[in-house]
Amino acid sequence: KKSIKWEKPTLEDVSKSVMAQPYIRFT
Amino acid sequence: MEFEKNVKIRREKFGTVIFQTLCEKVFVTNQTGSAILQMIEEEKDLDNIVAELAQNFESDFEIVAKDVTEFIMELKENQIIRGVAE
Repeated sequence: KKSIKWEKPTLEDVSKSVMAQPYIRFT
Repeated sequence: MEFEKNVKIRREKFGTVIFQTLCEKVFVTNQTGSAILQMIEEEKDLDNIVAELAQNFESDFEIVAKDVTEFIMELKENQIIRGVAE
């Protein structure tokens, strides 16, 4: 146990880069 | 704690992609974030999540507790989850 090093959880907003692609639509 | 109704998640190798369809936002998490989301799905509360992660990862309990609490608050602020005890 405890063999895995702790990595801080991250939440990244990637909306701008995703929404810039015209073929992605939310339905 | 539970996911908001308008939230869809998709697991990937690097972590999880979160679609917030109400305000059309897309988020990505790393693998630790993905593990926390998995536990939220299993309807575990904050204390249980922290205890389980602190047991499985090589880090101080206080650091895990702080990081997980911050992450969960961030999820709440972005309307991804609800029912977080203040």
